[in-house]
Amino acid sequence: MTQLAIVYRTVPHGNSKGREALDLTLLAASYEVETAVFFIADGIYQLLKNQQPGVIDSKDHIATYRALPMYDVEQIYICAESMQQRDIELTDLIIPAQPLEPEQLRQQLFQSKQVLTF
Amino acid sequence: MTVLNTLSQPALSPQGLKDTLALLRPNDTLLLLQDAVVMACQPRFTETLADFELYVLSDDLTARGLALCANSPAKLIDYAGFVALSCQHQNQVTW
Repeated sequence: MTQLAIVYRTVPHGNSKGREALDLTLLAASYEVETAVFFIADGIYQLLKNQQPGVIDSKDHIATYRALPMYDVEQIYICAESMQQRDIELTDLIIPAQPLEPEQLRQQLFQSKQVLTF
Repeated sequence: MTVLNTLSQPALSPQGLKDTLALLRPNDTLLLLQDAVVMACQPRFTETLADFELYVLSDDLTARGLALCANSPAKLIDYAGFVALSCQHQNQVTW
């Protein structure tokens, strides 16, 4: 059973939720809390390559997603249905993520002891 | 009165977008900015957005690593274009 699940469901840069979720993910992982991350709905935009947040004077937290494997966060799931709706492919992403259908995603998520949504 | 309608948050679904924009009429001017630009990249929103004179702030697309979807009816504008649009309309409504 995963101790902590962190759900990303908002578009980056218009608010700080993505950055806060990422900070929490890395912090939890550095305390050796077993952490899984889930990218669903508009949250999948967090992982897109080729973002240039500097253009709108937004702090760039996107490159930091590459640090997830180094912090031993290996459970990185992305909603396949959300990707299809948004015309996004796995090759568009900055890090490898495991696509799950909504039903599988629900099972993974509901197996976690704690779930935090951003 | 001519009105510039702006939207900065994405709708969760095409029906949600229709509900948000229920008071708009065909050919009303709509500008997508900030997080709302993602809707201009999703074919599922194209039909709903096609009703309007649609503009998208290009820097907000670039910041997010996105481009307009094929067949998008949107016109890309920069900040100067945003100012020009504001001047062309008598009022602005933020939805």
